[in-house]
Amino acid sequence: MTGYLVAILTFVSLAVLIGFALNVQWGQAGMINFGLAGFYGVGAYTAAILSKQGVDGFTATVAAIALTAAISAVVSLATIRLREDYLAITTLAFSESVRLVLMNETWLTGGTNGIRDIPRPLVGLIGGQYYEAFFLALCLALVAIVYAVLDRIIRSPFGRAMRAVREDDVVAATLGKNVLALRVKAFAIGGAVIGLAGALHAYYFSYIDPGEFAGFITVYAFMTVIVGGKGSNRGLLVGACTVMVLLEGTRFLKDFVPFLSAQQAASLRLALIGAGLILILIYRPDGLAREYRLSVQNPSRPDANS
Amino acid sequence: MTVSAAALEVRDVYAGYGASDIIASVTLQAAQGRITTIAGPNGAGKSTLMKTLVGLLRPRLGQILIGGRDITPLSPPQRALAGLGYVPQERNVFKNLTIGENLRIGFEFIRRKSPEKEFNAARDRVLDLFPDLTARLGELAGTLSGGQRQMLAMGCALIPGPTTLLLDEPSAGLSPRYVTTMLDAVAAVNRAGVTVIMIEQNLIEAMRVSHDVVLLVAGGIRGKWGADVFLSDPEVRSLFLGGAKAKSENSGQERRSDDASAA
Amino acid sequence: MMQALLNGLVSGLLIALPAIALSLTYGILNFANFSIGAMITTGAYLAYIANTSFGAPIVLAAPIAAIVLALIAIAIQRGVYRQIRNADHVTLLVASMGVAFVLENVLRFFYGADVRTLDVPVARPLIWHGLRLNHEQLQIAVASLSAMAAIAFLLKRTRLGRAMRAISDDPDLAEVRGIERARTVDWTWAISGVLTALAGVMIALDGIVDPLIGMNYLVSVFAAAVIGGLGNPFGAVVGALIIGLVEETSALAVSTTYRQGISFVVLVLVLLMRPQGLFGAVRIRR
Repeated sequence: MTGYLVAILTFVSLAVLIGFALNVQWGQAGMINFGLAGFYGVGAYTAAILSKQGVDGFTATVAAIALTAAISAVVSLATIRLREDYLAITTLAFSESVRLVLMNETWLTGGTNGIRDIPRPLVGLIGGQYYEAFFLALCLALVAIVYAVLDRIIRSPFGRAMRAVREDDVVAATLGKNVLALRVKAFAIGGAVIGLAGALHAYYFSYIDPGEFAGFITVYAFMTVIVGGKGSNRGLLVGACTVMVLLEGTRFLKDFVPFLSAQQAASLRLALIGAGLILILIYRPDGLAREYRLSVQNPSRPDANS
Repeated sequence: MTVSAAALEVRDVYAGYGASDIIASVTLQAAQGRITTIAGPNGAGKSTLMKTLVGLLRPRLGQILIGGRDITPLSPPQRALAGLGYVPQERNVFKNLTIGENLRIGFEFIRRKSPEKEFNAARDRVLDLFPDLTARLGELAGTLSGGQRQMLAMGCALIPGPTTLLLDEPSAGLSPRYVTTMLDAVAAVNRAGVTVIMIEQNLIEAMRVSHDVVLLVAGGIRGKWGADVFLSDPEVRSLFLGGAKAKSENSGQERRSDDASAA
Repeated sequence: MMQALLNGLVSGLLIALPAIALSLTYGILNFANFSIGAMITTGAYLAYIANTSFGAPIVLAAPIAAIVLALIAIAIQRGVYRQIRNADHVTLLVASMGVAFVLENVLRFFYGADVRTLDVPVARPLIWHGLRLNHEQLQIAVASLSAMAAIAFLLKRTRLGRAMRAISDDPDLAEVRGIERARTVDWTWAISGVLTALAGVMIALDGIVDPLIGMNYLVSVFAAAVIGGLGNPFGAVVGALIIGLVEETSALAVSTTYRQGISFVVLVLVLLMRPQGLFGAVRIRR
């Protein structure tokens, strides 16, 4: 039971990290990322491949973070002047392309067989018995650190500029903000956090294959952020826990409905997650916890001029 | 309450965006068969009032009636079907559709059952009014100049045969020659029996064709005049020529109750 | 090489149908419908059900799939998108991804991940000057061209088509001119359902039915629509032909498994060089 709880909390930590990333990109900067799964895969595979080559865990993680951030920046550059739909399309297409590479470049990624026996950092020092607990502690510490760092960024002038761009990039540009650089940076910061989460994923499971980096990761991440309230890092904790409870809770579905096969139970779970996402968008679009805002209801009078 | 002979009546309407009202307690009547001009300084809420009349903006409170029928709950298409025509000031034509298609769209969704023959007749009447458009029916409306777009927009509003026509600054951005053509067209339409309510900044030209004037200041009605006496009224003169804006806005608040009876 | 061009042309005709559907819904609802891949898959399964469970021949199964998917699309519009219409278009994007997730997993729930095939007679390919055109390709070409002709007629010559173009151009003005938006939007989804279902059926004819077939075309469809200028259905056709040709001819140099990767590269190049699409300038904005 303790083992189960530790595992669940580790999953929640990973979900929170991905949520943080989406919160920077979408919640703060208003940049939509439908290719989260692909970026997550880049982080995981970078860490895994380097670790298999004998690079130590810390360096490999830093490399995963750096590479994911750099790729995020490049991808965001392609659509930087366009409406969000285009970024959504491009990131999704990127994610699909990553999946193709993971499946087909067998020499590098092991193809559909994935990568096995990824060395876990510090496993010799900690010992296998306590490793799960140690890893959870590590994840929680990283969540706390990322939270603190992001909180600083959000409160900094850069964070304010980012929100200004989100609300209206024309106005932000006239205020002298370099919108292009701002958006690329915001996307890269998010990418860095996804890279970190991906690396942790690879170490935790010590086995990865392309199937783990499919669209459902992206859907979970959006669910997490939307439940938590877009833009709110504190709300994310609520969001991640809710999603996890939903996922794990529905896992027991097949125990109650015995005529379902495992495959059917899994499909039903995912369908319910999708339906949950839609219902939240309809009934609670601001999530369960809101972003703190000084809200003058509608300060602009778009039409009072004639 | 007496039975009104007004083509269009607004009863105590409040409307705006978000939480704040831009127009408040607006009450006015536009008489059947006449041209009523809504005058007022920039920011008075004239376009907001117009959008509320057309149905693009829902009033927070109050009623709007056409020919005694309450149309407040109706959507813009339903109001169009009830005989309300509208020419917006900007974005008044479908730019990626041809001029011919614009005219057809103006007709076919309001006169759903009418045969092709009636459309052709209605289109010919519009083209008689704006002959400039005749040769360009196959061109995209987006290629027209501002003045020509204004004419096409007017034609589109007229083509289904509305009983009441709302015009948001028909002469805005037009060259002097077009201003005269446009306002003459408004007068001609009115002579054919259509009640017209228009917003106009070019008051001198507008007074040439208008019958009645309603003054809107800071979101409230300040009074109603005959077009012949409007510009000679000392209060109006001070508002438009004297520039004592702050004072007039304050007094607008106090005078609101009087306005309701004046209207 | 000639064979690759021919295959590319046919593949482009196939991509064109969902690309048109995407452009129509984008133009009228102002958001990119990310469930289009799942709609294609659903269309294929509907035809599969009609074909194998009810024994309908494919000429009957295809229209049945089209009609049922049209009804499903209308139901989704009313049950989901209309319910959140006051939200910004990004919320609608996310909602459409949720819709895709639901559709795909409902199909998986009932039919699993097994690969299935339609029950159609196998015919010999046509050979002409060394060029091979198999029966399925011929069907794709004929069906796609007829569907496109029908769409062109609809948009240019019918009241519904003009209503759709008017809303796409200026939704407020369209309302003022008496156009009922909700009804036109429903019809647009119905047309979108028909087009994607046809694409699904043709993909299934040419190969297999599995839960991922739509997803495998998603990037190509989006790339085609973006090349044509999002919201421009006629541009989408040209975009689709370009994507089809590029994908097939690149197969001479790159592994065919990277078909979608090629589309991604083309998409990025277009966005960098001509973000409004190749025909973006035709549409007049102000």
